[in-house]
Amino acid sequence: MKKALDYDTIRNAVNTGYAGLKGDGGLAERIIAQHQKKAAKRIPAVKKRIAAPVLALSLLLITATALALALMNKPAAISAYGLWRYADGQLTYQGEGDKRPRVILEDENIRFIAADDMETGLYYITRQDGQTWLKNITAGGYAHTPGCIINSKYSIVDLQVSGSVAYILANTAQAQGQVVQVHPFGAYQEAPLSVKDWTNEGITAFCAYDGRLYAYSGERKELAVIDLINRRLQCQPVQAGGILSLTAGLETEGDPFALALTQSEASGQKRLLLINARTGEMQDTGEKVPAWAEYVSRNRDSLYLLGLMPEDAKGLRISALSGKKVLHELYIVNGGNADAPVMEAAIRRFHEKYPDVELVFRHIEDVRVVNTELMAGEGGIDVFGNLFSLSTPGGMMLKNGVVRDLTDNADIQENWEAWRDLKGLVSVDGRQFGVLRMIGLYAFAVSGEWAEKIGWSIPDGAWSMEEFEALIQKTDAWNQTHEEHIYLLCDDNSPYFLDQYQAAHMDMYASTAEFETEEYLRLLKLYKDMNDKGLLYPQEKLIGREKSYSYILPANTLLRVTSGGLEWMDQAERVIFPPSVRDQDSPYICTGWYLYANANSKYPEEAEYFLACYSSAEAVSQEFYFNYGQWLRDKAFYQYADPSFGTIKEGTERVFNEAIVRAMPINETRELFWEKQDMMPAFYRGDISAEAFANAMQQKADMVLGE
Amino acid sequence: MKNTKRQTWEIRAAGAACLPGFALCYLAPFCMTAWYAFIRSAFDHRFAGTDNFAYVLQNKYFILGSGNLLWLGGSMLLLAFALILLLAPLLLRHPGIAKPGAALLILPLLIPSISAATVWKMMFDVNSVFNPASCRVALTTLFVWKYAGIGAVLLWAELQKIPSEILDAAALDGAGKGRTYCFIQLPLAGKSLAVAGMVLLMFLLRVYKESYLLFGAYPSPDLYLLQHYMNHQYLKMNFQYVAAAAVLLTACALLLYAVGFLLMKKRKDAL
Repeated sequence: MKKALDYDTIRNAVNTGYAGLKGDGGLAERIIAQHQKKAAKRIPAVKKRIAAPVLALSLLLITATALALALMNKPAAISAYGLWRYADGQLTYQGEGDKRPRVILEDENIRFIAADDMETGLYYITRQDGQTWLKNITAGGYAHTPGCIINSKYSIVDLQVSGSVAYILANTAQAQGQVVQVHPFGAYQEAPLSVKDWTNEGITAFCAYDGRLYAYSGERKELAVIDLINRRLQCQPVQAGGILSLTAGLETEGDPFALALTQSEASGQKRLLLINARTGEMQDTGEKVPAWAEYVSRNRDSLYLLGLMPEDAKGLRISALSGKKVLHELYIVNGGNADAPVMEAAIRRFHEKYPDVELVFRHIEDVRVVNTELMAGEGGIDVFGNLFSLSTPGGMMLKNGVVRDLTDNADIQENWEAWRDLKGLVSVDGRQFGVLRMIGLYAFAVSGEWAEKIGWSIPDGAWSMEEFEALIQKTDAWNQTHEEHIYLLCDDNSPYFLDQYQAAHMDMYASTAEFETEEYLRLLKLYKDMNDKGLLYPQEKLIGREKSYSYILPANTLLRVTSGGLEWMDQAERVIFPPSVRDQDSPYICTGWYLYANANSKYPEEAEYFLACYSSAEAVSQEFYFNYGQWLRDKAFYQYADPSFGTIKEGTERVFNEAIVRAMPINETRELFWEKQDMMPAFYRGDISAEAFANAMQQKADMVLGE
Repeated sequence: MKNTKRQTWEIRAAGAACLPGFALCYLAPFCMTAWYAFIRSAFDHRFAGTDNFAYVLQNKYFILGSGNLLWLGGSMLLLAFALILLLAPLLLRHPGIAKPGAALLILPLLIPSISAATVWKMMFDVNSVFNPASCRVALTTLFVWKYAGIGAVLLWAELQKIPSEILDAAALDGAGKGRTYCFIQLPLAGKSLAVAGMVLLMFLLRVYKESYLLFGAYPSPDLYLLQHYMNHQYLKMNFQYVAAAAVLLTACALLLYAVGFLLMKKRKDAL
């Protein structure tokens, strides 16, 4: 019989259902309390459901990290001006002036990284398509070499690079802990390093730096220093123990030194020792070594204690560690490669007079940072170089009192006796503002093949604008009557004749400029004429090597404006002088890189003396004249000759060496350069006239110079 | 009485606590900058007297930049102000869309200047040498679009606070919407108008960023502002001229502030 749904029935049903409820209070309170308990019980169940995957994921991440760390035993590498790191599949680089690291490369399979002490970039070992590759990359993200495949039978333990040669520490078929030398450039070569009286096995730690190999054998507890250039032991190996990692120290009185990170077997304490590699004498540097330190690395001035985590890095001054007395530091900013022969000679000469002054090289990419530091006068810049040819011109800096006037420096003026007459390149109004570091001379690369085809006799020496105008007509006439089209001129980014004109008609020091002249208008119309006739090679068509190397003539092009050093220019088939612009004596222009002495330097005498050392015949002669031309009067000064440069074509040498003594520096600032670049397309289209172009340039120049 | 005295001391203590920060972050750097204005250069610390000021005041580009800041800047400011006065009552009269409307007005402020400049370059011819008129319009519209909105929102917020009884009383007395807005609401919202003005002035001094993005470092003479002059002198390492210009600009600002302060005091006394 169906029960009636009345109050009593419902009450009994509820009471029965909640009969088991325990607790205080009425039924309602007990029901609420019961539900709260159930909710509390449900949470642990939910937690269990998510805890397991979270735990599994965490374990996976930890394992992956540990594995990655185990496989990548040295995730950081120190280069001359920055720090390379590899983490999370990304290779990053942070230069001195960079606020944060930049990602240069993404590669999940990198195993080892090592910076070249000659600053050709970073070398790294990676796995690709089942093979082990040795590759190279620069801070700019391009590679010097396509890479090479390493013997797959090597079990690689470590990588070092010095002078563009790689040294791999590997367990090979022959022995455990062998140093294998790998030449990645040119024809690939790979072989275990063989040195008389030295056993190449059982090596547990090594370092290649500045033409030497420092190799430590944990088995034999022996440290050896090898001269890599002459392939011989520098001195007899010495006894040493407990070395985890090592690097080169400063050579003192002919004795090579090593800086070694050691760990005591008994106490596990880590120390940084200075080891005389000739006598075996060990000295504690006294530096507190953190427990995380696993290896050491160095650049020119500093040693770094590094660990496995990105934040584990501690920098120390090499000179201080080597016990060298340092009175103060002299900072050279953007001075170029500190290991270049000319710089090494300058440093040697400098230290003869100032042995206790340490030279510190810095590289600052952003010119505004350099300018701010210069003005602040708080140290950090004593000598500096211009990074770009369009940085603040030297003449302007001399006028504004930024750089020291070197006119009255006896040492610097004495140097000119050995030089050809290039003083004009570093002086304004008879006052010298700096010393020369590099010159990029402008010339024309010419295609002999096309010259012959169109019947043009290539001028041997100087030629005029009238002759160039005749060449325009000749080329145009040829294009009209032949199917093939020839481009007469491929410019180097900026219209050459306009730059040449500007070099003579703009004076940064006197703050004058003349653009609204008949000659400038004539040159503009010349360009418009060439463009209308299709004789100018379109810059946007340049790709790859043609774009990067201005000595390469693009297809169907008769002339190309090229600029650079002598060796650069000689890569062209043939170079000739540019034609002379009408109303000036010199047709030759050049970009220049200089070294200056900061007027705010705390050590003006030392700064000027360094420039004197840098511009001395002794130093300049170390720079093989093939690089930048013959600056010294007598070719016999150039005793250093690198056979890999080969010989320079007689024609190139003549053009370059004759032209540099008559060259004028391009007078330009970034603003005027970009103004010109921005207006040229509109000018070619006919949107603006030559007069308007000249007027705009005049306006801009007046603004730049008149402020 | 005791509470007032205590409050006064609290206010003074709070002010005193701010003093060190103000001195460190503003006064000290300003004094250092002013020092540079009286020496030959950052590289020659000999005393130069008023030579730097004389150079700067006689320099035609300083004069050009100052003039353009006054005229071009002034016109941008006035246009932005006019827009503020038009937009704020619109928001007030349509409360249903006021909040999303206010958000939309603030949105341009959040958009990076480089993104805005890229769009503006597509819309206008920004070759300042050959089309200065188009460039003036471009800069003015960019400034107004970006910064007028925040002023309108500030004014709208203040207008909302005005009691409705006052507006009802004005309506009873026969005042129309326009008269009520101009003669009752705006005077009551005077403070927020002043704040909006200050905010706009602050953004006007920062308009160099937009100008640089649109026209480059050296625009045509019509668009050359004082900020261009100062930035270029810095890049040329003539910090003494930057400092002199900064001191002159500060002096002008203080003078303006003093005049404004005196006028407000006079009005307050009159009331």
